[in-house]
Amino acid sequence: MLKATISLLPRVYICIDALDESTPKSRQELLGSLRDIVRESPSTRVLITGRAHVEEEVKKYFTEVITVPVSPTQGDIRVYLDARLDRDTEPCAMDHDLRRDIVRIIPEMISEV
Amino acid sequence: MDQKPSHNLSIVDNVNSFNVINVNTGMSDEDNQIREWLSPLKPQQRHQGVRAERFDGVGDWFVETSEVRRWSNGDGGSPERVLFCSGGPGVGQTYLWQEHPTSGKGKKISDVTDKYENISSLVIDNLCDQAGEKDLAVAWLYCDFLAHSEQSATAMIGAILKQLVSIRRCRRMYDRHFENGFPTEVYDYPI
Repeated sequence: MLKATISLLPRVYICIDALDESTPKSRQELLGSLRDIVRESPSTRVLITGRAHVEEEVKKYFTEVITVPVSPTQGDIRVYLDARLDRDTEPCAMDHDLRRDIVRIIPEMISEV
Repeated sequence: MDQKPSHNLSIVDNVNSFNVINVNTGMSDEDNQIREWLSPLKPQQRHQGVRAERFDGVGDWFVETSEVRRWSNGDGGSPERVLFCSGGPGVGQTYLWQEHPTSGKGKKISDVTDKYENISSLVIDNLCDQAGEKDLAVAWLYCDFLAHSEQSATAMIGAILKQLVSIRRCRRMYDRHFENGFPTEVYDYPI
């Protein structure tokens, strides 16, 4: 039924977030269905996010997979920290220098990890 | 085991209740009944929740990467139809910690490095922005450890489907299927 619906549409994007959080059984069935859909409607695009350990499972179903490792950039962490510090409920407890150090040092430390 | 009927059984139950309700209600309720029948999952609501938690500017670079562009712009002839985004080594363990002022115990203040929701929701929004102009449809699903009992494969596939049936041209097919009540051949479709 999903295949029939998708075949009626010019171009469909399907995004599956956190595939690793599904049960192994559901995951196999879902990946099998997605493979059939992509075979029948080649213009369909599938995005899957998840921890690295499900990558091999995904590759069993799809031969050509573009893989992108995702980790936050230092810029992302800086933006995030700024946003959190702006929401600080006790802003008086922090002076300008401390805030500057937090926004500088934490992104550097995380990128080293 | 009585507490765990298979999803198919609950679909049958829904079909029966749909047929009763259908007699007394208008089109809008019928649409909702069809969607609920397709899947109890509510991916659109979940997406709104993820968007609300998102920090502006975090991860924006991702949708501009060459991999994402290649994936989204490739035509039907392109073999690269699947994009898999994973956390690199150690990413799952990388948290920001804040120490509790009295107990000294660490408390996780962010799982910004551990979640892909941001990435997924950014891609979804980016595609939705182009949907009108480029005649494309977007459907999504957020899997969840805490929702295993309701996230069967049938419910997950149904959740993708119900986002696409709201599109008018798909409705014609459904109207044909449903004009004589819920047909048995729905089950014959390989889903």
